[in-house]
Amino acid sequence: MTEFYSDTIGLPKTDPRLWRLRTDELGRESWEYLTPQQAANDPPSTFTQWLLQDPKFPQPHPERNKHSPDFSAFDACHNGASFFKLLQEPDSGIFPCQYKGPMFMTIGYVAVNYIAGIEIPEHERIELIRYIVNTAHPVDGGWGLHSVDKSTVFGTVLNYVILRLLGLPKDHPVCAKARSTLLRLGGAIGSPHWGKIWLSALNLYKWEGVNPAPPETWLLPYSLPMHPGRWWVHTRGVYIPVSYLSLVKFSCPMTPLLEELRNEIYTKPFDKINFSKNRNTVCGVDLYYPHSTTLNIANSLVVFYEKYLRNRFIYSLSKKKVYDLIKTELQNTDSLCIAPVNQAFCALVTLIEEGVDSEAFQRLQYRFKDALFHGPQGMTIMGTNGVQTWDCAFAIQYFFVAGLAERPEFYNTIVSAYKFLCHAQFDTECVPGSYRDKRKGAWGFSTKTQGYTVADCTAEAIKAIIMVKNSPVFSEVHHMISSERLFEGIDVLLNLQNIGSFEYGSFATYEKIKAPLAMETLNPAEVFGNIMVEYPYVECTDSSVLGLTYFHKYFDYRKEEIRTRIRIAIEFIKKSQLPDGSWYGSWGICFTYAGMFALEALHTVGETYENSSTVRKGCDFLVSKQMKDGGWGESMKSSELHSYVDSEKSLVVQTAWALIALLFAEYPNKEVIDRGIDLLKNRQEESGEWKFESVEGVFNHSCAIEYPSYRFLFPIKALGMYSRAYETHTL
Amino acid sequence: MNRKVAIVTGTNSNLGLNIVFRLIETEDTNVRLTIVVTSRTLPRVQEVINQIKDFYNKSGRVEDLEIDFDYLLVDFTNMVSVLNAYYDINKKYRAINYLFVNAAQGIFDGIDWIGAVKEVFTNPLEAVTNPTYKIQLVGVKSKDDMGLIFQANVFGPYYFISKILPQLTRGKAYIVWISSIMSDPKYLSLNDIELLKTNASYEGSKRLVDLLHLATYKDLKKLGINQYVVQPGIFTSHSFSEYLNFFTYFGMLCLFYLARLLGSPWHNIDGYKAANAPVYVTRLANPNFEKQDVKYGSATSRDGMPYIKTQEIDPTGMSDVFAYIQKKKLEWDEKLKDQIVETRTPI
Repeated sequence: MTEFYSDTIGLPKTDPRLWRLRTDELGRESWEYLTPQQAANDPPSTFTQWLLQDPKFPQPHPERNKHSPDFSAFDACHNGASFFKLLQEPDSGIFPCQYKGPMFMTIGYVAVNYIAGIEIPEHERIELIRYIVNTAHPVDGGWGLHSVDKSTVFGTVLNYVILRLLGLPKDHPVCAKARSTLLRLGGAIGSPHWGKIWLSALNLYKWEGVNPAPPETWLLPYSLPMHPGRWWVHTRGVYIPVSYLSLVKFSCPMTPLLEELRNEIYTKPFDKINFSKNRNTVCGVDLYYPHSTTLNIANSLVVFYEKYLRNRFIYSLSKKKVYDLIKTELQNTDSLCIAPVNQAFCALVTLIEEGVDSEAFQRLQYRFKDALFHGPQGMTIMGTNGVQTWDCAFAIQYFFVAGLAERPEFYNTIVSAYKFLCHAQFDTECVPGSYRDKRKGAWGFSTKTQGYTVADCTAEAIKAIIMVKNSPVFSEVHHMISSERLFEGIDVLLNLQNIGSFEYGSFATYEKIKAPLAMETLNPAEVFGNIMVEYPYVECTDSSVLGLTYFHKYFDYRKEEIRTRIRIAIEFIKKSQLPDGSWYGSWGICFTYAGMFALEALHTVGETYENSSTVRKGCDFLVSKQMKDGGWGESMKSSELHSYVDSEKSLVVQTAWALIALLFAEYPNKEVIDRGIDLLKNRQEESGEWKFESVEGVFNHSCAIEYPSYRFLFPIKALGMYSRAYETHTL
Repeated sequence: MNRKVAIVTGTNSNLGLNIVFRLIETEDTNVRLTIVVTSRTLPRVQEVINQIKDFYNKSGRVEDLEIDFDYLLVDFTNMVSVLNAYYDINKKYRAINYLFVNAAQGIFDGIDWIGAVKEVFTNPLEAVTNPTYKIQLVGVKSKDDMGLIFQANVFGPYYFISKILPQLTRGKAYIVWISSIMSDPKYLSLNDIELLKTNASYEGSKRLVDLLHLATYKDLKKLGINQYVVQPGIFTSHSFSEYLNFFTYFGMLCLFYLARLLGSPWHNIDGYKAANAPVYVTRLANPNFEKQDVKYGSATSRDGMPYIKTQEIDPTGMSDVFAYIQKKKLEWDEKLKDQIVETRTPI
């Protein structure tokens, strides 16, 4: 069992043998801590055993491994798949994982419970503390935006406050060190916008020092280009409850602990701080995206309006409008909201409006657990309620691509994942008036319950389902989803393509663009870029192409239109290539990720290294980044800097991405590919596992997030593709 | 392809940026050069990288030199921040090939306009070569309880060098300390090495840089590291223009050109010429022949041609300074010895 920093400093921990993950057919994940008596009659899943390093985990011992002579790519692929199979929850079909990385999610859970006067259960409290302690910076003891970041005010103040609210004393070495770093960075006064909001709600800051988020904007006609209903889904998802809190300027009652905290997190006495002068004070280390002058002027005008011009009638009207929108968000997602960030803000508003004992607040309490995930380092709130749909779609596809899916030993794996995908398709529309597009027929990123359409998840799910439906081996489950339901998915997907003047041919993640790009000048977040409108992404366009080309191959539905849509999407992908041959990735780290998707999409329309200069440039870029040991590795600084930055050593996941790209491109130099494949084989444990090495994903350019299934899925795909291309073996 | 790593502190300054430009122009062919940009804040890192990319794309080196980037957020007035920078470098790089110490912090409090006007009229050449009318605060300490300018420009960078010595040794590195034309012995009192009692702490720090170089370059040479001290002459930089408006800036520029016309070799005026000496010593000087106990200066002739001009350095006080700094280094080694802990176990 791994020893963590929390162990070395004697922090208490729970008994890993007593935790159980509960999942259901819709993919909900929640953790339960049992008594020893209960645990004796309730054996853990193999996933739980693996995750929590239970010695009883049935470690595979394949006949051939990296030490065997003639250990083939197919052997490695099969070993990897056999291991990964054990990480599936057979009843629900999902591959659970601790989708962690962001260090600003847990504050919502802890703060809302604190404000509501609800005590967090002891087993959770212990593990929440452990996770934060085990992600502190090794040198200065602070926290950043994400779990492997440099220390920032945002990360440090929020996690410091969490530790204190959970009972860690201020003179605890972890707290003392973190506080020193916080004060070195200038103290909480330099926190970005979201941090100031949480601090204000906790009565640790003053609302006059927070830039305004006027709810009156929701009263404007939707036809106005700047209406917030036209903003990017995540941004407006946060703006709805934040504008309510900004209106009522809620702060919880003062407590002795909060009084202490006020004295701890600032460089000067709380009473001597002029908060209104610090609306735009953000520590330079935190400041990824400085405000535009336009926004600063707009904020000053709104502050003036709030102080002198806002009247009672408008106040009440805005408040009601916003709270109604919160209720529709809760209805559309069964209280999950789009992500834990806005879920926590919505919960706080619900607490204010309805009270701690209300049904609405209780439902939110129940749903908090969907994103509260346990792991060996401790417990944390994930980036969403999970990665269920995305991982299932990839698992099915890659087992097929690798030639594994139809093998009897993987039959149940495929069937379970397929059943989950069939259940995960959206079967209802959103509540009218919630500024949401048609969603029936689409797939989300995580679960049906969460209810937000995602373009590439829809496309990849459709592709995976077609693969299963095309295979006679799985004829018994073909009936579970009809072609008509796939057509509905295609309808939603086609609706997501930008076919107007903006980035013609591209796909965004959640919606087509609805607001002008100029809205980005009003971005208040400081730590995230490109969040005001729905931007197109190379990877989403690539995945959508993969889904559409696959569908187009097997169905006649909207056939001519789909061909046109594919062509214009491919043109967008080509136009998005940077002069050096790379594509910038927005959801994975970084150029290897986007390059893989782009080259796969180009492959589906017949473009290869031999016949396409786009593909040649793309491959040559990737090959130029190959490391001495044959692998590839990228630091998440690539995403921050928009420029390729090597990681400390090569990484399995990015190596797999690069290899998949080169294999799809039919890159002619086999030696380059061989060296990468050898690395994947050598990095694999004898059991078939690939150990975690580094963060795989990213969002909004600056925040890293882990995708634990990637280190199995992409190597399986790369090794399988290589094996089919270069190895002769009997199936 | 040969991998090389260059760390340029103060990359976001006019001089730092031009050092990178010249490095790109003069680096060997078939090299992949990683430029580690440093700043105290991230937005400046991105700006700098974009400027460097623009320069590179127009430079004619796209075909035979590959560049990529990394960054360090470091504040040399904070020893934990310096240790952070060491930690990041140590984790990632096996070898460092270039280190340009371009620390030019000063605590200025405006311009003594009366003094400036008087000096311009009585001694115009001196006024634009050795200006003394920038008002500097006296006695400012860092939160580490050290003279702020001493720490920012001398001790912080020196401590960083001592920590990454293994990487510098493996890379057979060039270390280049950026000094100044204004580093006369008169600016430093050996009774005030931390520059807390002087109103010329900036100039004093550059004097310390000169002496520190003289005290250390021979030992570094034994490790295969070539260290030089250089000065960029007089050029436009951001720290000065902060106090000038359009008219006074233009006036200053006129005076600079006048000085050059009157025979001053040090008025480089633009950052590109100012960066000549720093890159000369790494790319053009022959370490087997060129002296290391002199200061290499970026110079420009009357008709605008850049050249290198060396100056002797008065070694008086070198031993005292070095002993003081070494003692302080040991103090901080002790203070920071338990600072790094293994918190982030990957799993």
